[in-house]
Amino acid sequence: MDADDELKTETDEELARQTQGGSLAAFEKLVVRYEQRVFAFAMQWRRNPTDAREVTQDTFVRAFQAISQLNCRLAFAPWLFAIARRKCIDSFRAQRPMNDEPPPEQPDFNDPAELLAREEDRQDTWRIARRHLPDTQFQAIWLRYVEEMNVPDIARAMGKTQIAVRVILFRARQALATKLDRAGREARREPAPLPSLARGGNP
Amino acid sequence: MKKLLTKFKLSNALDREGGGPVPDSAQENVGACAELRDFAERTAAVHRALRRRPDVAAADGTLHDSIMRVVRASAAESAPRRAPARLGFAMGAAAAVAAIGIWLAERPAAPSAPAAVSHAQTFAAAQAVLDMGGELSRTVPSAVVAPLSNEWACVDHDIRDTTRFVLAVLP
Repeated sequence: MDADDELKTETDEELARQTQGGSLAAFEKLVVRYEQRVFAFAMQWRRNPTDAREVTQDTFVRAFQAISQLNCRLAFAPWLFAIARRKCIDSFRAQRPMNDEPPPEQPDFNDPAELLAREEDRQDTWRIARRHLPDTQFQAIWLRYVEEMNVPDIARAMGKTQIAVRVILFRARQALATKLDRAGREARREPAPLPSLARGGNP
Repeated sequence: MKKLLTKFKLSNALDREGGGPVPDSAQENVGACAELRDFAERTAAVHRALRRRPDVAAADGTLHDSIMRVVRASAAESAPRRAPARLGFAMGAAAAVAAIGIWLAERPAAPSAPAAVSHAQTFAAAQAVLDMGGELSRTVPSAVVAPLSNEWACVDHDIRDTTRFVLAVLP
């Protein structure tokens, strides 16, 4: 049996139980399974690979320290993502700009790069979701579609009730449907000439 | 309100295991309303689009090593803290076991079986109880005894019965 087969035979919860018994090797297997997933989750928040890396590392260290509190009869992934989510929030708060700093830049719709980004948005539902949905809604759909969690697990990961998660998912879909609809209508319209080119024609 | 509820039900149906069916009541409403039909189509399109996984940035190969390095350091840090606690617990448990052992060894011998009690002692105890009952009836003032005379009689009766029983069971 090679290492991959061995990894597949043990459930996350069995590995967590072994970790509770003091096995660092079992925890390392969990790290192998989840490091890229947690990193991808953190990247949606932090955007910066260095920050996402730090959040991922902090998440696993915290998980290792708190593994004795995990109820191994419940799924491991929602518990881990709950920690990751909290670490993302902590990281965000720690680096939030102070009040005396200038507000974030508003998009310049005369900027060709911005126009290009908007064009790419039209082609990518996930990009639109990240750009337009509030963090809570984006997390919920990330856990639902990328992590393929069910509603009870999402509720555990987000520290919310199941009905609250259902409402969040409903609102996220509704908002996305509206945005996609609008993007589709814009895409069907005749594209206006880029402002810089239009100006270039004048003497 | 009804439309909103139907929309909510349509969204919920997408989250059921295996994409469960839309409830019949919602299905009827969708059939009767163009707005709901439009919502159902657009939501289903969003659902399909989200199921296409996004391109996610992968961490470089050093992430695993850096995580495990920090985890090992954390494990090493917590081990010395746990060791004295474990040692203290073990010593406490050992002391408790030793104390129980000593107590068991030193305690006075347990009283022997009831059969070993001498019959004379039993008889003397029963006699004492009888005497006490008689003594009470004589010494307690009548003003006190009068309202309780029935109770005293019952108590006296019970004592006599008990005495008779005790004497009867003696071999």
